[in-house]
Amino acid sequence: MAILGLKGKAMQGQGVKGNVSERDQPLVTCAAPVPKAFLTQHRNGIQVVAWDGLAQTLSHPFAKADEQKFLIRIGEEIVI
Amino acid sequence: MNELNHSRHQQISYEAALQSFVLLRNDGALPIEAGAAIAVLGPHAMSRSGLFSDYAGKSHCFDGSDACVPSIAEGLAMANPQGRVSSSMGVEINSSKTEGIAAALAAAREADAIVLALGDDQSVERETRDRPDTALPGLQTSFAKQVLAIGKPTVIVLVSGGPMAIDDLMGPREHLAIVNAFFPSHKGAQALGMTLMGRENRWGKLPVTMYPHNYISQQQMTNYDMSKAPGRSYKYYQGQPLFPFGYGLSLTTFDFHCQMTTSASSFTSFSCQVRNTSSLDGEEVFQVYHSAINIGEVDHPVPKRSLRDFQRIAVPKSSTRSLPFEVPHSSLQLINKDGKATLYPGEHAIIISRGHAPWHGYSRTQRQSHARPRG
Repeated sequence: MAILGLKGKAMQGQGVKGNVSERDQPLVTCAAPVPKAFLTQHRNGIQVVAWDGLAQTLSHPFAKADEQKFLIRIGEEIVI
Repeated sequence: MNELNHSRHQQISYEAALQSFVLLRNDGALPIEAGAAIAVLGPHAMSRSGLFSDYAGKSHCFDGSDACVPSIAEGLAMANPQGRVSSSMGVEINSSKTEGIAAALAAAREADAIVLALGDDQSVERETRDRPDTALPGLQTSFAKQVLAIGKPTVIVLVSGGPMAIDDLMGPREHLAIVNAFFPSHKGAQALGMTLMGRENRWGKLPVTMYPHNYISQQQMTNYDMSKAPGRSYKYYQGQPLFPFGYGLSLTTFDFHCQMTTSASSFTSFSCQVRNTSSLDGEEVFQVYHSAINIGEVDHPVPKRSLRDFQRIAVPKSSTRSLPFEVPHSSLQLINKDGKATLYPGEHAIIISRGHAPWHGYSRTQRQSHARPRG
């Protein structure tokens, strides 16, 4: 299990939460792309793509030939 | 504007038609073999004015008529110069006349392939005239069944403004193709001929949900609540459509694989590799949908999915092209009960689709009780 949570630091450091409307702005606070080495893990056939802070993408490549789905998690600490 | 009906304008009409046809089904009937004897049947076989919606105005030719507009039969003849094209209506758009059926069936029996041009026109649907029924009007369905019973390779071409309920023509059958041509306009018949002969392969996707016929008895036309059962549109319809919004096939086979390439605070980008695995050049339209799949409890309807982006890409045969998408996180917002765009924390799915899945409802549990506070 890799804990990617940088919630407190990211929010405070970038001042995102304090500057946005409570209603209509993203809670995503990650600022920089994660190094590529950090992007993928494979577990049980599911490609897990994650990035700094508070969002993650779960990819299911070729799970269905006509569609590919990615999961973006917003506003929550990431625990993979 | 100082030029009317310039060749540039005609080319735009042709291009628009090519990219608007939707291939709904192809069980071996397309492309039609060059040089084939083709029988073009149905009420739209020879129609000209019927290829336009009422928003296109009237009298599309300089002589004040529509005589310069090619019919579907003429469009096929132009695209199949080595072959033979015959035409016979069989039935009218919306009448009970049966006099023409025998001649049309005779033409069908003599042909190698049949193009069955069905649908409606402004006599059935136009401004100030709403359809009371989504089925093919008049005797078209029974006529189509008689034609299909002959067993020749058949392409059903639907010409209409609104979607048609063609439940009765949907059964398993070999050598059947179904094309939705809508109102293809001035150069539409030529574009259709080239497409059915496989000389163009630039299909579009359904811009509407094609509901089964019983939908009209399940939903009041005057009910404008999109989410009320059985729901309206691809966002809320709970039943199984005949063909879903965004659906559309091609004469080409494609493989694709997408991966996330960039993440930032305000957007996520993806790159898709699209490979044309066939021996025919083709275009494909990729669509990006958003589905809020786990956002807690909210006090308003949540669409199953919402179209956020799309791109058309041309991929030559046996080639691969890259297709980038950038999804702003602001596009993951939903409209709350106060009409305000709201980005809910939680899990949001980005679905990249080529519109080939016959049924692409996204399974999830939607809870609606009270709003989840932000922050």
